[in-house]
This record gives sequence, C-alpha cells and structure tokens, in this order.
Amino acid sequence: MSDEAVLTERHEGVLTITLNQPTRLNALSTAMLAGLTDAVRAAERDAAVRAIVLTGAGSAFSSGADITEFDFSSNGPPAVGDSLRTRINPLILRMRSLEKPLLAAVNGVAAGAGLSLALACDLRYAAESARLVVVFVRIGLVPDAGALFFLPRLLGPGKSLELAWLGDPLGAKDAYDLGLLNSVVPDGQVVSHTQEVAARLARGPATAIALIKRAINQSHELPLERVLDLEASYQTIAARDPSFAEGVAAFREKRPARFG
Amino acid sequence: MTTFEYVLSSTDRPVGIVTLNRPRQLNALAGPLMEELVAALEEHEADPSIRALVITGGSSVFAAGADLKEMADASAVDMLVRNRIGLWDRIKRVSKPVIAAVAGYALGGGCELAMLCDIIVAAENARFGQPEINVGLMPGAGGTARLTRTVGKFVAMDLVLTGRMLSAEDAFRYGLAARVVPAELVLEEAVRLGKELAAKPPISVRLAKEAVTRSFEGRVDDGIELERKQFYLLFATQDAHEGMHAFVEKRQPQYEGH
Repeated sequence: MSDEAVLTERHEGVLTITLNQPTRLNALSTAMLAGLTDAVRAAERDAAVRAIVLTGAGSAFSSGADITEFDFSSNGPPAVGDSLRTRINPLILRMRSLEKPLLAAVNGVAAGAGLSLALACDLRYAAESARLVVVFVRIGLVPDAGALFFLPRLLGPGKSLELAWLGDPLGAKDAYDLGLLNSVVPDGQVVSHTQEVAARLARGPATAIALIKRAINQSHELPLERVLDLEASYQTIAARDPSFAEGVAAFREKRPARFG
Repeated sequence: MTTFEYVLSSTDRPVGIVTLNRPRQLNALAGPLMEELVAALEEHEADPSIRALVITGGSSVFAAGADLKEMADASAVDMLVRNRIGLWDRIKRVSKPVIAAVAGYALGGGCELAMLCDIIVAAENARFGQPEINVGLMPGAGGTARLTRTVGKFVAMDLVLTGRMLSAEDAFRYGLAARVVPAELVLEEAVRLGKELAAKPPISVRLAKEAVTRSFEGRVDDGIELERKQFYLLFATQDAHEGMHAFVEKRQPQYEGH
C-alpha cells in the first residue's frame, strides 16, 4: 500500500478519498489534513468529479486528532485553538461549501474530529461494526471541527449533550436510530454501497443537485420568506439548465433521463 | 455607445449596465479602469432613455481593490497631486439610482465602490472587506466613513483594523447589502431592481436619492475629506511601500513603524 497519507481514485464521476494511515487508525495528522484539504480542493475544481466518497483504510474511519502532536513540553498548553483555525476549520468550510455531494463511508471507528469529518459530509453510511464516539470530553476537551454545529442540528440539544458529556461510543445501529446515519451496511460492503449511491448522484442533474445542497445548508438559518425566495431563485437557475428539458423529455417519453 | 477597454457598457433599457472587465486582475481599480467606469456611467447619466444604472464585475469577482502595482512607488506628494480618488466624486454626482451587483470579492476600493452606489445586491458568494491595513495603508475612497455609517463604529473598526472579510449573509445582517441572491442571478436581479426603480416617478426617485445620500453622508463629508488626506499621507511612510511591494511580490511584509 502507498505511503501517502491520503489516497484518491476516480471511477467515472465518483472520486473516492481514502484516509490512509491505518496503523495509526487514520488519526488526523498534519500530513493527513494537508492531503485531505488538497484532495477536496482538487475535487472542487475537477469537472470530471461529480460526487465524492470519503472513507478510511484499515479498521478505522478516523480516530480524530493526532494526540502525539499535542506538545506539553514547551511553554503553556498546546495551541489547539490555533491549530483548529488554521488546519481544520477551513477544511470543514470547504467540505460544506463544496458544490458536489460528499458521502462518508464510515468503515470503522469515527472518533472525535474523525467523527466531525463524517458529520461535515452530506450523507453518511456506516458498517455494522462501526462505532461513533464524541470522545473529546474524555481527554478534557470540547467537541470541535464542526461537531457542535452538526450534532445539535441532527439530534437536538438533549441527545447532543448526552453524547458530548459522557463520550460513550455509539454503535452503528443506535447512531442510525438517532438520525446520525443514512443507513447501516454489512461490514465489508460500506465502501461499495456508498460508491453506488455516489454513482447515482454523479449521473443526476449536477446543477440541481448542487443547488439542493446549497439551499438545505442555508435553510436552518433563514426565515420562511427567505427560503421561499431562495427556492424561486434556485428554480430559475435549474430551469435554465439543459437537464430540466432532458428530464421532462425523458419523463414524457417514458425513458431514463441522460443528464450531461 | 462608446466602446471601452477595461469596462463593458451596455443597456437593458431603461437600465444602463457597466461591467468591470479586467477579470484576470480581479477587476483591480486601476486609474484607466476608473476613468472608463466614470465615463461609461456619465454616458448613461446623459442618456434620457436610461433611468437606473447597475455596476457589476460579473458572477465571480466585483473588484479586489486598488491596483497596488500602480501605487507601490508613489510618494505622498504624487498621490496628492494625482488625486485619483477625486474622480470618484463624479460617481457620487450621478443623479440616477446606481445599483451595485456584487459577486465574489468586493475588497478595499471594491468595497468602497459598492458603498458609493445606492443599493447593494450581494451574491451568496460575495465577500466585503477593507484589507488595506495589511499592506500598510487604510481605506482612501470613503471606506472608513461609509462603512462606519453603515455597520456602526465597532464593527467598522474591527473590519478596518483587522482587514477581515464579511460574508454576504453578514453584510445583509449589518445592513450593507439590501438583498442576497445566488451568484448566477446577481446581475439579473440587480437589473430587475433597476427596472422596478425605473418605473417609479423619476423626479421623486432623484430627489429621494439625494435626500437619503445627504442624510447618510451629511457631515460624513468631513470624514471623507480627512480620510483622503490621511490616505495620501500614508504614502510618506516606508511601511506603506513595503506593504504594497510585499503584496505584489507575494511575500510577507516587514513593517518598521515609519
């Protein structure tokens, strides 16, 4: 296996990004974060990429921050806030504003900031044996890398507080029941299943799919009037895209649509 | 209609549209571009079939500030004598409503140009900011005065002293942008708004625009005048030249405090 921290492989319109330091449970080392940021940036620009799958090599999705990089030897506590601002926050924002579907294939444990990465994806599929852990409190820290944004939106405050305060692992089935996952897949099939969903999205109408993500990501923050207005604007844009004419024609002719 | 080199002037009657058109320079507001922008606006101003104007930079960048290459070696005296910013006053004298259709960066002079307009329609990807502080300067074309009036002293101070950018949504919340629309539609929405204004009684529009502008700027004119002098004065400092050169040369500036 390659010694690069992050691997990318494109098959037709689907790019798979693999966190690739399995012996370290894909902890988010400096090299891993840089590689992931580069991969997301490249996927953003590459028109051939229409959907992205994020997964981990080996038994873990990602165990979160690389605690070997926390330096207590020099003056004062490690500058974790600065590190978040420079290395992680821009990545989370980039994932969220990426105008293409981003799907997490959670193949194993997703802990701490590793879980946050999965939460920053648009859809999440997990292996039966995967475990999700909001682990931060167990080393005396608070959830970060977007967890405090995504968890309450997905779970509401009560459950978010319970997970974040106790730091107990959540099995895939329980995580699914709570609404953290889109589905649970038998072990060994999670990557291929996620890639199939991604392939469907890659064959879909790209403009509409991008606009849907943009709108849903804003809708929590906006009043109904603004969302209605947003829908009208986005519909104007979507209706001008050739995909709309093709979709309508395919429907009339009772055949599958072929979106460019 | 005159054909220009750095701007495109067009009409969607009764709306006149001027598009900043140096995309590879991120529509940096160089002297010749500003001269053409003013000439194009004045041409629309003189055309009785035009009732509202739109200034835009397209769907990816409005204007990313002044052309630092032009100014990096200028002395304070050069700047004062050239008084390039004096040209901007002619935009203020346009009597028809001027709408800024802002997508992408509106930084430094770009933000000031947007604030010189009457209504700002921001694209979702718009970013507003006054980053002059990062190159050893400060806003010089109304930025400190108009931003302070718009967002209040404390937010303005934060923006002007840190150079950080505001998102479109923040600009909307602070009252800088009147509307937020998708980038794909920013020009279209601005033109639609222009047409709506064009359908109103023209004398009312003209006098109301004057009144709102007067009450907005009022004694702020004093502020703008002072600002311009301070801005030119900064060209007497080495730090300003160091800041601009470092920016052009894509390196970190070393400030000495003089």
